Amino acid sequence: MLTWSAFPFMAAAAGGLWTVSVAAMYAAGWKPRAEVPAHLLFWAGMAVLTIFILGLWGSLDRPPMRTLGETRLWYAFFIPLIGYLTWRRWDLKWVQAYSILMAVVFLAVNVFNPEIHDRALMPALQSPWFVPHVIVYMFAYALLGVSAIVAVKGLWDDRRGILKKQILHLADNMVYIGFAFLTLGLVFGALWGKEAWGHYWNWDPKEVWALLTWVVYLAYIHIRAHRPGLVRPALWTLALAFVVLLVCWFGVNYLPSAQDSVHTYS
Amino acid sequence: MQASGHSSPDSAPDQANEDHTPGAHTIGDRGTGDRAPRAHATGNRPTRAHGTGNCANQNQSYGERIKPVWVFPWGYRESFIIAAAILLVGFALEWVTPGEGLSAPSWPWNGVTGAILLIIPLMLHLSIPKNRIVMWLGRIPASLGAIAAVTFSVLLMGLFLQGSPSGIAWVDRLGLTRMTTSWPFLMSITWFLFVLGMTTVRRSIPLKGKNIGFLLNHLGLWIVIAGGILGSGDLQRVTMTLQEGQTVWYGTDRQGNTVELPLALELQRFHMEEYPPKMGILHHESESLIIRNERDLVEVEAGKRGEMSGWEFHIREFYRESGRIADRYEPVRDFGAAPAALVEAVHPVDGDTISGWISCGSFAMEHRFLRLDDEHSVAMTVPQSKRYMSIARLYTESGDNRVIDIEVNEPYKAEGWNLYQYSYDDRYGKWSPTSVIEAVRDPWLPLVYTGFVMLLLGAGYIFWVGKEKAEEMEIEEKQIEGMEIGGKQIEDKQHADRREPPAPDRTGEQPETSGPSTVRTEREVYEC
Ligand code: HEM
Repeated sequence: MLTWSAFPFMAAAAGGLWTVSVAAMYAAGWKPRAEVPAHLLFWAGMAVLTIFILGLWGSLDRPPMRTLGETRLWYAFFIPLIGYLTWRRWDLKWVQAYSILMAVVFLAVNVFNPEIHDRALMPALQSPWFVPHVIVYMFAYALLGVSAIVAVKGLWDDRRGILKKQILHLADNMVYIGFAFLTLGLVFGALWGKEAWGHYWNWDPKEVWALLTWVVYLAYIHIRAHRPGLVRPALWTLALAFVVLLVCWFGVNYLPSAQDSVHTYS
Repeated sequence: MQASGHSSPDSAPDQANEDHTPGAHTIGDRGTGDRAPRAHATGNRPTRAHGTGNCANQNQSYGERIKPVWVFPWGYRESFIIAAAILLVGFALEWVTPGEGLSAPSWPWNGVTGAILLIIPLMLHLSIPKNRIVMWLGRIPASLGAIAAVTFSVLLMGLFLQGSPSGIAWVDRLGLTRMTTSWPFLMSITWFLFVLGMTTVRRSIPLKGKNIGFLLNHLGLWIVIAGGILGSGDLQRVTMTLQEGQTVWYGTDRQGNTVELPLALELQRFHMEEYPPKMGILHHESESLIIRNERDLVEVEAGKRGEMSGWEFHIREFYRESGRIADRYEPVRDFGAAPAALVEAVHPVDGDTISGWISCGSFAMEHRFLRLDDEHSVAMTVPQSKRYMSIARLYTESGDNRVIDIEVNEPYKAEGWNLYQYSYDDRYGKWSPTSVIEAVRDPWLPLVYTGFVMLLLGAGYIFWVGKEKAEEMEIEEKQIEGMEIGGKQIEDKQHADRREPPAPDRTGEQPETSGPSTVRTEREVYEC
């Protein structure tokens, strides 16, 4: 039975283990054997947080999913897991470092801002879908944001005639991963919508823009799949896709179409 | 398609690129036909990377070789022309027909439509797979045109406020404020489903293990979109307005029609839990709180001390539900009872203490401020809801009779209907005597959810497999770099099982159709 009073210690332990694990990951260079400490430290951090969540669950006698503080716990739990998976599968170390940073920030907010643990969410947000929906979008946006930087770099290199195909591989890799998470986000959003608003798709402006974002990345994937040599249209599509993503993320509220969106919480 | 100089050569190579059929000889005289598969490969990229500067010139010099539109094999240009034509015809129809909008037919006609959408690609693929239009339909150029058409109509949806006429004549006449029921949207989505259907069929018949990821994504998406759009013809959404003690067995749809339901609800009680109210300093003249940010207001709790704009506060008493008695508030549980708190405030400069009651009031009670000085008072905000639900007795045709809770985010399922907590009378807040339930029936839901599951698995697939395959291909390509013919054979091996099998007479045809030198230059053109 654990309560929030134990949290600062456990958060410090988990965050500390993860931070050291990231350092160990970078220190290991590219030698798989040297990475072992990084893996062990990472899993130790996960174990600490798992114990806390299970303990809190037991002491609350309900899944800890109702307050903002509780949702942040789940972010801090799942984001490193996805980052770790991405690192192992695709050797993208920065993704793991970024995930750990996010997780540590979430843990820190819970430690240093304890009075908001109990601030509960508005009723429509109190759903088991809230956390996965937000996590996968945070992840997708991070990867696709980087892919946009890669695209701009690619266009710049192309203009100077020094474009290397590695750049496109990097972009493809990130788009594939980011697009997978965008798909998860759309589907989780739809499943949540069914539970909260009665239908899985309401053509709400936020949904419309999420769909547009998804479709532009879809176009990129297909342009690339069709003719790898068609470099410039692909890179421009990728850069444009990020603009659409930004509209979806921040801009929707300012569009005339968003006057009665259910997604414009302040 | 950024610069016009680039868009024109697109169509020719992408065809050549994929055309592994006897038809390829039609472009043989341009020397591209069979050789172009190498454009897929990347062995030649290093060359290109250093020579990009020349691309534009090359485009021009090879400009006259570009295939005229509508000459087979089709490519991007045909695809985008068709997509634009579909949208134009759609808008024209919208313009000339009275703008009521179209909606999906209900059962069985939506089922029939779905079956037609399914059968046509199957038939085409099984009967005339080598037809050039059929082949073109199942490939990426056609897909991108269809995707662009749908994207365009969805973009309009994302820009214009949907649902109510804008008052601007041409906007309303083109159906821009009700895109989901407009001709251009429905025509482009039909075209999209057709093309996606052709794509899926082409890669899945016969089905190979390594195409599973492809199938999950493409068929999954087809199912979701077809199921969602056709299913909307059978989707029923009605609201039931419940009053305590009354039994309601019908709902009202969005057009105001009454729909009888196979179930009835009798509201026993509407229940709402609220967050504690907050307090802030009100500026009399502007009639607004000094601290606007909800988060920085002080949450009202008995015994709490705090500080706002220099004033020190101490909350001496707090009742969540109270009634006013003379000048005081006392805890009561009456209908319309409001929160109230006894607050003590110490002046920032002279240290004077002011004390008194504050309350946000309710529909039945006045609100009350505590005056601090000529310009400011302490005010309490109306508490926000934490959760709310209807506690109701449910009767069904199949004989159920039980008390159920219907809470936000936790619909109750009965008789094929989902019952949602929809709203309440917000004038009364937690004392609302009415509760509105939305009842939704969607018989196509299992189909759409099947598509969702496929998309989720497909997403897992592209996360895990990624572009790895393409990279492996590239490594193989590298190994055979410089060996034109060898390279081509490897290409064939890789593409044979996912695309059409190479035509039997093809090998014999090669020598005459293309020589290595032509290939190189052509390829460089494509690569631009
Ligand atoms: C969930 C959405 C989608 C995903 C994740 C997806 C993914 C992919 C990927 C990764 C490829 C290339 C790799 C391969 O050949 O296996 C591909 C090929 C293709 N896709 Fe998609 N796609 C999606 C939707 C669509 C749509 C909506 C269309 C058409 C309207 C389409 C048409 C095609 C075509 C024609 C090909 C080439 C097939 C071939 O060369 O045999 N895809 N898709």
